[in-house]
Amino acid sequence: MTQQETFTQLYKQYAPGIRKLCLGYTGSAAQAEDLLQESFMAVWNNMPKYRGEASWGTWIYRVAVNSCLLYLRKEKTKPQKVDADALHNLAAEEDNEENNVQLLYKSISKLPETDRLIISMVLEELPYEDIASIAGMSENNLRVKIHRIKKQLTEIFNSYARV
Amino acid sequence: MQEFDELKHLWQQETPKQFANYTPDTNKAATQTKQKLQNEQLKGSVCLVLTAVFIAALAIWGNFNFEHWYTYGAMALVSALCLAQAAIMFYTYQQVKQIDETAVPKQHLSQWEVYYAFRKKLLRWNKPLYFILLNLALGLYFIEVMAGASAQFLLGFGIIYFGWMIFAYFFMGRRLLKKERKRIESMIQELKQLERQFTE
Repeated sequence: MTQQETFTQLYKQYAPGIRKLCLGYTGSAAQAEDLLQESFMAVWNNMPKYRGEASWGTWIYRVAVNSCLLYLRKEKTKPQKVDADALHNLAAEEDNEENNVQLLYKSISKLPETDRLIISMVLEELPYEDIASIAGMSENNLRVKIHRIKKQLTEIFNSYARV
Repeated sequence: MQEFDELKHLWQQETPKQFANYTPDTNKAATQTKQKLQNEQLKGSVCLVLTAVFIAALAIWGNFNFEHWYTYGAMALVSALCLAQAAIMFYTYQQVKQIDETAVPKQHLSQWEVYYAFRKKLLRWNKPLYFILLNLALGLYFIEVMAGASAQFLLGFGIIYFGWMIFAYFFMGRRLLKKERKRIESMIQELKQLERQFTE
């Protein structure tokens, strides 16, 4: 299989999950799409380095996490502040699934940056072992962190959803 | 009141809207941030080497027949400055190239931190020194080249040349350096903060 064929296959398989990771991280659909492209360009550039020590999935998620962490540092992609009013307005709109999903993304974007990435992977149901390997943490530390982030995210979401 | 599992259900039900329904164009892989930065440094380095070679070739085979050694000295200095800048840009290129995007995030962030610390150090001495030496070389070069010009022309040229240099150094240059230093310092702080988030 050529590099292009492998890449196309990997993109089809992992782009939906990475797109959600980027959306949770940036809180903006347009930025998430841009970041998805940036992440997969990084995947393409680094493919010759892949040695098969981790699965393609873990490896791609790690490259995407690294791309995310640098993305918001770029001048033109500085994060737009999600103000509390916008979240309250979103919550006050009709209580349908679409609004709740938007509220969830916006709630995630209120978390510290690394927590956003970790919780997006948890929501995507990646095994803890894989998340630990992607984030470079011990599984025990990760479990403690995840417990705290879950609580925090639920509180943020509910504080807006209650309005 | 939603529990976390309900949020998870919400997340999994949702398929985000796709702006682009195609595989990214791998021909544009050079536009990826790290690759772009790498290419900028490499291309800049090559251009500077070519400039240095061109100036040196002019000095050797250009048949200018300058009377004073310092005019050739000025050309040699410009050429050497271009080579020195090329070496710095090539070193920067190597530094960026070594950043491993497949490393664990903490390590990856720390590699960028090292790169920005290097840029900060460079900013302190490289640009002012380059500016001073380049102008010294051009000043030396103009002594002989302008020797036959009228006093009025020399005065006009001198005012424009030095006026521009002073403006470029004290107003534009310093302001840009200050802005760049602030940007790099804030970048280093943000990277440190992110690294801490991984250990907390």
